[in-house]
Amino acid sequence: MAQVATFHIGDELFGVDILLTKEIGKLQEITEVPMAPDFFLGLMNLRGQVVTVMDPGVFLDQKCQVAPEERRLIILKNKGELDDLFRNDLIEETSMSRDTLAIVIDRIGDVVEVADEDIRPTPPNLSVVKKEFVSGIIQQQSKLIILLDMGALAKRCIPKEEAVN
Amino acid sequence: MMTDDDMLVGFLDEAREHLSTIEPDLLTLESNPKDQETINRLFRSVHSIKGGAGFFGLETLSKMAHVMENLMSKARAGGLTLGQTHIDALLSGLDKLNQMVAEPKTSNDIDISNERDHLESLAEGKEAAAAPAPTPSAAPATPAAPVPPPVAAPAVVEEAERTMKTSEFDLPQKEIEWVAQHDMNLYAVSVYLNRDIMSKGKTPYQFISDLEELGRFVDSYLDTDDAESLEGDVDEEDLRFTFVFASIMAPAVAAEGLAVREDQLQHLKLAEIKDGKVRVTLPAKVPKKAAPAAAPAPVAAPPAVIPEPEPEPEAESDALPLSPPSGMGSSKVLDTKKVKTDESIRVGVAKLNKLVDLAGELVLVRNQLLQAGEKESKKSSSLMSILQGLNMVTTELQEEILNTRMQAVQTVFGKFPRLVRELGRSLGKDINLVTEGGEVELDKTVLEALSDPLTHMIRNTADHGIEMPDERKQAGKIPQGKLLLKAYHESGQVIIEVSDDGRGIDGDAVAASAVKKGVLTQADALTMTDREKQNLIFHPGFSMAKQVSNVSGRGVGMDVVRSNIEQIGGSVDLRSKAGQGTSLKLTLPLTMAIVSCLIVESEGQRFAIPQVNLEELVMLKPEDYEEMLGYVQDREVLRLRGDLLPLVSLAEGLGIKESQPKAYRTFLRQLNSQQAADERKRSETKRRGEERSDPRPYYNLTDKTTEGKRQEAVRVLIISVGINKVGVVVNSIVGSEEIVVKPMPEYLQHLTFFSGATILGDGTVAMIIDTLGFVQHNQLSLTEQRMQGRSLEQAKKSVEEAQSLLIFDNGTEERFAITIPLIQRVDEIELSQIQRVSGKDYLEYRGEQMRLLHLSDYLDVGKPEKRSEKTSIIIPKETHMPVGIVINRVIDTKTMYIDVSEGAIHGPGILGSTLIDGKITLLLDLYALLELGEPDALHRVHFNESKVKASKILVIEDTPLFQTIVREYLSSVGFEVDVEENGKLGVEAIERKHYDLVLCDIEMPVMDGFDVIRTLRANEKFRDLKVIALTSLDDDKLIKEGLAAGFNEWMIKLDKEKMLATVNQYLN
Repeated sequence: MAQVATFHIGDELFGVDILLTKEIGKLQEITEVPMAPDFFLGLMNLRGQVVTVMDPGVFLDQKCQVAPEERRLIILKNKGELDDLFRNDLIEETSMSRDTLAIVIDRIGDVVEVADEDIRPTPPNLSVVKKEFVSGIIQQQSKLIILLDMGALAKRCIPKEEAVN
Repeated sequence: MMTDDDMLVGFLDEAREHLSTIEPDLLTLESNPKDQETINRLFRSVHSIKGGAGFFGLETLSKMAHVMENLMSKARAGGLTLGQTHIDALLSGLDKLNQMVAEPKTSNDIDISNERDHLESLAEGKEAAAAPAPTPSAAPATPAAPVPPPVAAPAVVEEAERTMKTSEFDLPQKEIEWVAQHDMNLYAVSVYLNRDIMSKGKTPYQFISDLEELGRFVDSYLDTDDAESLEGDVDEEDLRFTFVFASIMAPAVAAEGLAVREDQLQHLKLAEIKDGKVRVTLPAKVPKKAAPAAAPAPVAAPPAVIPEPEPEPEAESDALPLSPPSGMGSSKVLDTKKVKTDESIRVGVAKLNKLVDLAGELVLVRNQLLQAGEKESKKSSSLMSILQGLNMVTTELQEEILNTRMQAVQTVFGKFPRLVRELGRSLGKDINLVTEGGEVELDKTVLEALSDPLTHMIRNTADHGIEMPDERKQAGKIPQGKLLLKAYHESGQVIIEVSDDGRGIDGDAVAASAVKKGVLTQADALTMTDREKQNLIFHPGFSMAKQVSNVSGRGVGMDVVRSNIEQIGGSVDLRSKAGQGTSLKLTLPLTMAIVSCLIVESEGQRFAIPQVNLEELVMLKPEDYEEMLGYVQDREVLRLRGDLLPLVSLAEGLGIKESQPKAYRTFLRQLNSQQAADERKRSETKRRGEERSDPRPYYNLTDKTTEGKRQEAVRVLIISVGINKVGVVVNSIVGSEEIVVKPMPEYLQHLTFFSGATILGDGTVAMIIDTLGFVQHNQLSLTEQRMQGRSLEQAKKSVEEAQSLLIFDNGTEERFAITIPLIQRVDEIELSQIQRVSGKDYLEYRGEQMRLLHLSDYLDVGKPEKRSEKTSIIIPKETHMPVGIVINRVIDTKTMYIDVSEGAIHGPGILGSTLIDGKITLLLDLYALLELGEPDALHRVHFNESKVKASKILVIEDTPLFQTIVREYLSSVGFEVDVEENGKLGVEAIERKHYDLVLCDIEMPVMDGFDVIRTLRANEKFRDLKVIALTSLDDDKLIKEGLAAGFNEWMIKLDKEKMLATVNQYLN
């Protein structure tokens, strides 16, 4: 049994293991970072901590449909916070960075209880979404929840060795 | 209890403290071998390490310390004088001690036999060598005189019966054997809780753990009777504590080691202990008068170890009640030191860092509260005073917490005397190291990061800076070189200077070496000032050593030193005078966690720029523009007190689009086009051999616009990066703020022009500019290094070619440009004339079928939504069949210097981009476009493959853009292409290597194309070398002149087909 936090971006319903999330926040004042890749919205002050805010929609072919001030953030746990969970066998190893990442979403959905067997592999016809960031599909009544692989998403955001300039 | 980890850690910490004093003490002794106080301190330090090590089972460490101690005790007793060999041996022993303390777990495996044997032989050998050696025999006699003979002891006990108390101990046989095995001395000691322990600021537990560092606790006895029996006495409340203690300490030092008076201690002879029963008689109350006679002497002192040669007079005066137990200065020092350490506690650095972080957060919250509270405070006056109170407390708290991380620079300086001593010896130089300001404090992190760069700098100075004694004498200096290491505060920062009185840095030699290594071109070297040349030693890959010695030739260059210092937010400044010496000045922040920054605003975004990199702020008023702004080498420059500084706007440098062109940009652009036209005119007049008619300085503008009056002032930050300065334009200055540096998130670490982020007072995040990264990113450093410091005259000479551009748009927002020499004609057509045949557009044009190309079909550019009925076409020169490129309309033609930065917009068919009238304009590669759209239109040049492979072509061209393009064109066909950046280097290359063909630019710095061809044709060898002029100058007269001078052909740049065809023609 796992709890999955669901959220909307564009037309799709996505889900993330609730253990990977730290908190839900409002999209506050964000400082844009010049020359950062376009999926980064910028940096935000979360109670004295500098948090990198990114838009997962860029990788998922979804565009936020809500006005910026209505948008929400899911602040994800960083490596340090996840290590504790990993040590206690609550989660599998993920490749989150030591720096906190937040993803911007349209709105938050329900938290659903999901049995492991309910998580089905990514169907091959799931073309709208880049498959490398999807770890499975959950069918909930009429809804289809796309379960995201946050580790893969975070990894994608870390620049490769060669510098941009 | 014995192997408690905490205690081991405590011991190791203490051992390190001792070790750090041993080295300077040894060096002091070297110059002053008779310094008894130092010998004593040394002895004690080594001794306590030895004791503790044995206690924790660190046998090897203990042994090493033991042999060192032996030698020192000889010296202490006056048996030998410590010479250089002794000091050397002791230093090498010290190294081993350091090594073992650093790795206590494996310390027992470390081989110390060499050091030990050496020390032992010194201890013995010297004794034998010192032939008259009266000491060993004299020594036993000494104690006999002042102290009552051992046999007298029982008598003393009886006489002093009332003040003496006898305790009985029952010692386990095992313990006695152990003591015997370890060759220890056994003592019975009696101490008073208040007088001997509490009054010294210790707890009984600490006292015991101190003891355990000195030996082994065997048995103890707490005498509670005393408290009652001694009524009326001042010490009536004092509890007496008697114990048996085993230690390696010799009897004479035991009392001192335990910090008790000698009469409180009794040496027990193992042989006299029967069945473990020991009767100990020690004073039961504190004598009111000096009682040296009553003092029970050690029962038997082993004659071999007699430590104090003259204890008599001092013992007398010092034995007064309640006075310090011994007359030795060192023990006094030790005592106060002990008290001091007891007042401090050890805190983990991690914990401290957390506190520093929290203090930083608190400051931020305070700032936010102050901002929010300011509005409210008008309503309530009491709130204001609370806020002020909070403000003060927070500031103080932060300062104090930061202070906890501060350490004296001496901790780093301390290791240099030895380094310099050894460097001096291995190099055969006499170097006197003088350190000043060791008490100046720096943040621990800064200090740690400082250690390696400083070491390297000192090595360098000793190796290269200070001359050999002979050389010094010849230069009229004293043979001993001086190396000054000095720390001091200056305007909120700490300065550390490493200076010498050596030979200084020969800028020319450095430059010559740099040229040899390919770090610098000969031409650049010529334009450099002496200071710039000297600063080349910071260039990566540069080593100053004429021959690599093992001292400085370690693969670490001064570039690493500089980057290390810059990493911790500092800077390095080099000053050197040939023959007089060199001074390296490090400017360091007090701490790394908090940095003083200037907050600036550009395009609505705030940025923090570390104050340490800021040189000054310059306010440019419109009336200053003419005087202070200019254009050199395609670059905007600021003219500041005779220097030309590259000028860049912060927003532009960070790739932020500027919402509206700033007034000074407009000025510069006008200047740019003006200058381009002037330059063209001037080069033409020059070619005609006429006098230059225009004496105006290059930065002058003839017609002043009325617009100029409305222009606002520009704020320019002068930023220093190394010796280079750069002007950075910002919209406004917000103010200065002490900011807490947050490291750049991993996701954004590739952005090298930011060193981190911070949270400003109002809670928003701001990026911190990494000035070095910013300058490098904008490629301001390399060429500007050459530019800076050049005189205006030289700057004027550096000629760039102006390009004639046709600027047009395509019915979209994008702007395009094509170089005019490639265009045959621009014509207007009507859309209805276009016919579409099998997906391609054609136009009947002057009786022929002309293929029409749309930019958006082949290039990554926008597609026009709808064209107006009348539109324009561009017809390129020299196509095989008629081709037209459909555009919307021509905007302008301009002759200007183009700055096509290589990192900017790039793509198939696009050479690059440049700013024209504030708009990004894409420079089209016409040939690439034709290749994509209508390859048949191009003349195909067929090369003979074997010819291509065998042919070497030299391109002499100064503009990087054209270097790239021409090289690409030629190597795409398969030629081997070399590029040189000016005529002088080109001619040198030709003299060096065989080329089949030379393509030579006309307008170049240092030596232009005309000079090249004249030089070549003047030389018999190169009379027949094929040299083609490759230029954008298409003036008929010039062409004539060029061909007359000896060019085989005159070609227009960027005309790929023609160029390849010509090349082909000349190679066949």
